[in-house]
Amino acid sequence: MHLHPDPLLTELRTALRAGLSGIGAGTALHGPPVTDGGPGPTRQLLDALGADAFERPVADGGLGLGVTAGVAVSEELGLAAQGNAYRARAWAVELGSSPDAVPADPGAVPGAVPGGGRVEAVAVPGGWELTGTVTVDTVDAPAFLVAAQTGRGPVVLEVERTAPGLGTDDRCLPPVVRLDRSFVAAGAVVAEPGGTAEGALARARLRQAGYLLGIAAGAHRVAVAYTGHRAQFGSRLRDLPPVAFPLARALVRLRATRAAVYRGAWLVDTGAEHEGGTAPAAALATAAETAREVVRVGMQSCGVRAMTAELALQRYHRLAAVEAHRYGDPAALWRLVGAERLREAREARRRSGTGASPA
Amino acid sequence: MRFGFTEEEQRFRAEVRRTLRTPDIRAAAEAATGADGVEPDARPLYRLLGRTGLLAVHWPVEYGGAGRPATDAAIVAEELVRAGVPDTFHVNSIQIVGQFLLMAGSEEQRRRHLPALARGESFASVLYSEPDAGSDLGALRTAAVPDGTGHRISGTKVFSLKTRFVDLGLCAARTTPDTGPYRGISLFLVDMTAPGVTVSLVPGIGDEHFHRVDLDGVRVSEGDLLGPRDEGWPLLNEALAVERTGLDYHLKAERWLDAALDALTDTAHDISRPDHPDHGEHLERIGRLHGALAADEVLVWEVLDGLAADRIDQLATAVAKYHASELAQSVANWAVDVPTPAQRSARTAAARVLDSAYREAPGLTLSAGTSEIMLRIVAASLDSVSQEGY
Repeated sequence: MHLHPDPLLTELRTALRAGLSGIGAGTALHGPPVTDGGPGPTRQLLDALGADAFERPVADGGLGLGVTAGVAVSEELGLAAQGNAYRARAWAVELGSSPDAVPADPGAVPGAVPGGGRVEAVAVPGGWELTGTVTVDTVDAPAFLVAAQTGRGPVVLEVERTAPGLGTDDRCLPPVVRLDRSFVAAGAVVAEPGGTAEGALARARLRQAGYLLGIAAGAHRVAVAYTGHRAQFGSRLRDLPPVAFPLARALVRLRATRAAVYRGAWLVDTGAEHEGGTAPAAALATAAETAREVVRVGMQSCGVRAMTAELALQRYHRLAAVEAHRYGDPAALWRLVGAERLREAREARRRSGTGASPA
Repeated sequence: MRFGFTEEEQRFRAEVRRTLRTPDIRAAAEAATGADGVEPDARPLYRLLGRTGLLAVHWPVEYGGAGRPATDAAIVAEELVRAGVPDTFHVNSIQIVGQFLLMAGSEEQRRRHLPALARGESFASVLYSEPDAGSDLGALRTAAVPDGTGHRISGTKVFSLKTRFVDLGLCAARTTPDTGPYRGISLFLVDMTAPGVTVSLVPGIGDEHFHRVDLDGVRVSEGDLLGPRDEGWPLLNEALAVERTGLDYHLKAERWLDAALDALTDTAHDISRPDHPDHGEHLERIGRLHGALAADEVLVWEVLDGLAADRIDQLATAVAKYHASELAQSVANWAVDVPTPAQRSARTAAARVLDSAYREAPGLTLSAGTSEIMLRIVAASLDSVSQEGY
């Protein structure tokens, strides 16, 4: 293995970090912790950096940096506790849709685990009628990409904002799109089982894992800084073992999560395993649980001030709640990973015929 | 970044795997594996392995190695464990003492000791811990008193593994008293057959037992002093970092998870059937452990890559050792409940491995620096760690 970061990626990170430092973080304690979605405050920065080209193959005029770049971008956005204006567009483009269409969170996409709501599709002459509620990055979009269950499996459809029975609500976070027998034409299907959705889902999971890793690392950074100057019992908080050890454990967890996330991205980018095998799902589940736990440790380490506008931790805390389960329940993701590992073990046992463990 | 292995590394791995799958090595490995508190002598297995030239492939040819890259040595270590070879001799003799000799030993010391270690004809052990100096090595009392052209060492060392089988001890002793806890310490190579060395067994719950080594005026020459006199503490820290790659713990975690899966997929007990009552619960646990193991491998290789480039990163080693040992322990603690009564009664290979694992597991977060010491190192780094360090 060779685990030094690619210099180009380091450069990209530096540019992003510099840009993000100029974008103010909200201090409101209620309502959405970030202004999310395409038109969010980070969009301008991403456009200025040409972020749409990061993952696009060189043959298509892009930089060909793979999903690893998308993960790094998402991580930096999470680290700065900003909304993720990157992931929706990347996901939409991968599904073969217009970049202006806003995709619903991929909980119901073929191969995904439940999360982000559920939509049922009923076949009607000339198309489908959709009923259900899904979460999205933003409701300000001309169209939405919605994964729906049909009698023959899940499909992804592009639904115009003007579709009958479609309503939106952005008073909650994530915002939701409600569909009540909304008609879409048969030609609106953009992804079907066994099609492009599988690879797109793997990459979407990794970008979200990167974002969650950033949220966790950002919260840890705030907690480390605060406990480094706050004194109690005549000592810096961070010099007291009951405070220092949980923060140290959190750092170990962050580094393990980083390993899981970037390994998953590397497997997908290099094709070392088909769409990274279960590594993207494992990376997402790891990052989701790390984000919740590291933020919790940060809040505990910093005391009541963490619950006020005095420390940015409150923002990470609320953001982690929104983002950790958005792409699926971690426990369900782990069951998916476990089932595949067990299948491999059974297969190895069958091949060896001796019951010996696979090497 | 590259999270996989090069074609050349994969070729080498395949070659090592073929070599280790020969019937004589398989039989010797089986005979060297402890069970039920009985610890066989694994030296015959290592003599056999020594003849394959695999034990220290990264050492220079003149010291008994094959001059291969250090990453190849880690590949060998991985494959030894996957072939069922008990690895304590390899970890102690090659990965710790041998490696440390290579880094800090004199030319004469290297030539004297390394070739025999590489051939599996000589074995080594570290002698650091004392009855009153466990995690706090600054409290060590063993003294080395000048004696003409050498020193005489007196003191007691405890809790080392395999010591009754080894020829060489890497011993930390105080050469200048009353200079503070971390000063005046030196490292010596001790002939374990020398007059004054008494090795006794301290039985433990694992299949490998502990030892007490009493040193009573043991004579060592100037040529046995490793590194400069009185400057052993920084060397000791380097030696400890070499111990803390996490690789051996990672491999235990991998082996034990494989054994658990083996038990779970036994046809009489096949947990993969969705109608099995424990199906969902086990799936979630297996998924978590598999995911953690994949991340763990990266943390371990981050350290190994650093060592291959002569870089010792104390934070990375503490992270890798903590994560790998805690993970292996959690695998063992879960997996002990996996074999069914029928599998235990039949003494299946998986049931035996998992029983042994459970008894060994408490030591993993104690040896080579306890988890608490690792956390202390990590906590101390919080002041300096940059965002890139996350």
